[in-house]
Amino acid sequence: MRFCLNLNPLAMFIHKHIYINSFTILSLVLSASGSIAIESTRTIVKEWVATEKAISSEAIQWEATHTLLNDLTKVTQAEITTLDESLQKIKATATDADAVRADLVTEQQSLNTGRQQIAKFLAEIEPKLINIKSALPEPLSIQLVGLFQRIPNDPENSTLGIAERMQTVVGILNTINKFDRAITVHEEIRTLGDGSQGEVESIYIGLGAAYYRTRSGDDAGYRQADSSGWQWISQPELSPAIADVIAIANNSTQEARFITLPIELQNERL
Amino acid sequence: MKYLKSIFILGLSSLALATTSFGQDLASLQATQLAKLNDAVSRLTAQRQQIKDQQIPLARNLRELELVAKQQRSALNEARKADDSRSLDLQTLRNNVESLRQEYNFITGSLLSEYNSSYESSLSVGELANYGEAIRALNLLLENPEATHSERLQSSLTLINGSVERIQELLGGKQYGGQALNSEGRLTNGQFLQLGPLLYFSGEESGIV
Repeated sequence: MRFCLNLNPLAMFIHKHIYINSFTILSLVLSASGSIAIESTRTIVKEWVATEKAISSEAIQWEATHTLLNDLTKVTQAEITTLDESLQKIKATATDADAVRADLVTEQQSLNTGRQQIAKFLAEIEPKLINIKSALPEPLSIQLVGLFQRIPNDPENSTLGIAERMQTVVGILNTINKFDRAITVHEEIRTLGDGSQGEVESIYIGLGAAYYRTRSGDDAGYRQADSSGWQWISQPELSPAIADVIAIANNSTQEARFITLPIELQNERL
Repeated sequence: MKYLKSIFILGLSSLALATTSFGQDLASLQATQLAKLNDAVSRLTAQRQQIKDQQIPLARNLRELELVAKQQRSALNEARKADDSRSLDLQTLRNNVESLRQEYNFITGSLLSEYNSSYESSLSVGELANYGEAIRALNLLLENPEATHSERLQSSLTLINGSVERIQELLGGKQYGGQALNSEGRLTNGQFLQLGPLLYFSGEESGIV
């Protein structure tokens, strides 16, 4: 290469600027190339840092997650164990309860059978007692008014319990039996032999016989049982004897002794 | 002019040298950092895979356990509801049976038992041969452990029924056959006349009253 030197000042000026500009451009080019490489390296470093951070943070996060999963697993296993135990207890209780229930059901059936037996009996005996009612002596009927009122008119639809109904039946029977074992003197108003109404003193020999006498003694008689009830038969001549009987019963003046009085038994006078 | 050219060449050479040296350092650094990055990425990938390998079975196991627990909770709730209902039913049944038992015991153990006792004491001597036998049979049955509740109850009810029939017979007096001891202590056949608490006996043999 040959340099042609030109001492022309203009040419020198031009060459000078060419050199300077070339150097500057080259420097700029080199400088730009270095900046790109640095930026790239910086990016790599940043990515490396980010990756390391990710490794670290994910490891820490996994550690926490691992612990959490293990803890949750243990808690869940413990819950399952507790639930199992509770279920087993309930099953055991249910088994015991089933046995108790079976016993109770058997007893209930037996008791209900007994109830039905009693209810059937009451339905049969209550009408019988009502039939007897009209044949009972007056003092006894008065005593039994309350008990007879407790007998249901319609046993099938009665709201009374069987215990209450049985109590009524037994009460009536006990009262009648008690009356039959006693001699009862009773004052009452009745139709006399002449058809008038008067106060009389009656003496009942249990359910078997009864006699009456007016206080004046002008009328007396005895009671005769028949299928429709009792009929009073006037027989004034019995007045002294009946007065003696009443006096003995009242334990007033007479000593106990046999006194003859009539009685009608199955249409026979003994 | 030569001087300027030399300066230019010298500057250019220096620049080139500097640039070359700087570029070499930068490339080396970049390669090192890239290797580090690659290593880090590899480790991160491996760690993620390791976490995944551990986490999936653990999470699956937990899910399965939670499912079992959920089923168990549901089963327990159902069992509790059933148990509560059963307990309530059982209590209702128990109360019902207790009520029935009290009623039954009151009737049989109190009412019928007391009536049977009082009924026996209300019988006259003449009636004991007839009604007394029924009462003795009832007492034997009540003491028999093999007798059923139904048999005992029926026997007691039959006795009450008999007592009603007896009352009907006693109304207006009752005459019935029987036996009584005579003055020599010998049983004699005859007729009883029962009027309430009064009892008379007329023997078939003449003179015995």
